[in-house]
Amino acid sequence: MNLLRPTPDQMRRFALRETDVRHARSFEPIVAGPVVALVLLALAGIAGVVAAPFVLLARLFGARR
Amino acid sequence: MELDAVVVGSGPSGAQAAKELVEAGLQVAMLDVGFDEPALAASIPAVPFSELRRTDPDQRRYFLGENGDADADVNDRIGAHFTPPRAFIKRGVAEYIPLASDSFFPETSLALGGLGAGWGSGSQTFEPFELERAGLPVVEMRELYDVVARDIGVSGSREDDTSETSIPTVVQPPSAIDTNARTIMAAYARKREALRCAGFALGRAPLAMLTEPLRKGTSFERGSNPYNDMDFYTESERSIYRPKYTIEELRTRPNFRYIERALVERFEDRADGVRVSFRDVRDGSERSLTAARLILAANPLNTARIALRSANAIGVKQPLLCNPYHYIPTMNVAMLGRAVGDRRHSLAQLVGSYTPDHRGGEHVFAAFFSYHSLLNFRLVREMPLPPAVGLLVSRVLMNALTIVGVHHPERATSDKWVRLGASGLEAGYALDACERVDIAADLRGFAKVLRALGCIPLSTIATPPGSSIHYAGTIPTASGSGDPALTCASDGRLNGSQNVYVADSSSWRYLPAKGPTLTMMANARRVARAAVRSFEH
Repeated sequence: MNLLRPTPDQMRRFALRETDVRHARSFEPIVAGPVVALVLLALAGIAGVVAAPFVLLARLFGARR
Repeated sequence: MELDAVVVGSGPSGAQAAKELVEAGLQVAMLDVGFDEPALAASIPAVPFSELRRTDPDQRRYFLGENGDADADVNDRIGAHFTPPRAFIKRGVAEYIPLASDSFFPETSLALGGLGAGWGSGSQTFEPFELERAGLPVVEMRELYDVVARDIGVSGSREDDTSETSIPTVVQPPSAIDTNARTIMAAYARKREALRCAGFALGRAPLAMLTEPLRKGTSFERGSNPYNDMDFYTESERSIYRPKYTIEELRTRPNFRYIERALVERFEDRADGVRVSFRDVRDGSERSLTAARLILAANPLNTARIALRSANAIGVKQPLLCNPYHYIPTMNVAMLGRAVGDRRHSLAQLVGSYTPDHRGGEHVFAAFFSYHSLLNFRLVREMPLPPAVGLLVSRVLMNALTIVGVHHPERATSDKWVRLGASGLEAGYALDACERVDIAADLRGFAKVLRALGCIPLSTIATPPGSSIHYAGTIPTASGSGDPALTCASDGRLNGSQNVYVADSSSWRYLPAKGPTLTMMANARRVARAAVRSFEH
């Protein structure tokens, strides 16, 4: 699981963007009712599963290099 | 001035001990390193968090640090509440008071106000059986809880199920709880009978946070909390008690002297009083002063360091207590996709007391936090997802996310210790098999309770030993058998000395799961009273 977590560099860029006032709204909570929330969580889960092998390969390949 | 007493440390214990001594008319000096950097917190506009996020182009200064672009340590996983305006709390620790350990990772501080400068302000009282196990007198402590609560300002409800014996009698009205906490309280009300049968009680958190002004019309006036949800970054109208407020007040008294940048190294108990040696951290110069009494209140690790060094007790093991701590991120189903109000505070909204059968009456204690002002990045870095997907999850979950911090009770064993080694203080910490079994059972039971409240546990995160920031027991009150080399008498006096007192939680033999800070302050008053009485003899 640790291999799938964002890297320190990714998180640094993420935090800088989150604290940029121009992007503030794109970090606010999504309030659209429980059904939409569940659908979004399901989509995020699917996206995570699809992305996982590519992230793993990229990390392993990157580590070997 | 001729000194009657020297107090070491300006944290919650030191501040309250000094106040008791000064009010008794003694000539008092406080030795303290006292790092403080209030400018950043003071520069933050006094508007709600969500408004700041949308309007302040300089927000990176206080959310990530003054040099946010270059130095932001957004990957530090421990101590999220030590935000950039509070970075001074940890300043100088590694340099001046290092601890060598591969199994214990505490937070200590050389700040003005010590760790109290970042205190989450939970203000529970210990119950009689908890006080007795800790070695503290029940009647005197219950009186002193009210003395402290009146002095610092504690808000809370005496009507909730958690309040029966865990809140001072002198309190301000409870703080307003947020939308998330209200839905959890509503779920608790619906299932109250079954949950009480299972040993669980829920209530609003008693906090050292003002809901009404205190000392109105004086130069020490403090305001009520503005509900800006910026309590991890600003002083919020001084509504949340910090020991430095007491120090500021004491510094206006003619019989009090604050000596800053003084790192106490050792003491020598002599016929003419106690000679205290300290180092000025500005230039490294060695200095000393003499007083009739010495009050150690430097936190259990530093108090042990000073006492062991003074006794030349190299290699002697002393016990160490620290509550094991887990946190459980949960999703409050009732809040999924729902909006929350803008106006709220950032501290614990609710507290839960769980008394499972296997604990024989002991409580496991939890604080419930709504997650908002610590930003998305602290959540996203924990998710095994690409950042963009993690952000989506974080935005959907944010208003439903409830972080439950669970503290377990703690007793001394031979595997938890501190000692003075050749190069400084060392510590070791390991739970025995029985403790691990109890903790696992606590967590299983707690997970059931949380599900009954509609909060689905997403994970259970075991923090490294020392993370609870609740420390005690390094110079315990003597119990008559099996005592370590250094112990205290029941009034806090260091055994073997007539003039040295231990006023912090070093003297406790047991550490209940509740937040210890209010009890530390009441105990410091008690020990200071004993020191005052010693002059009468």
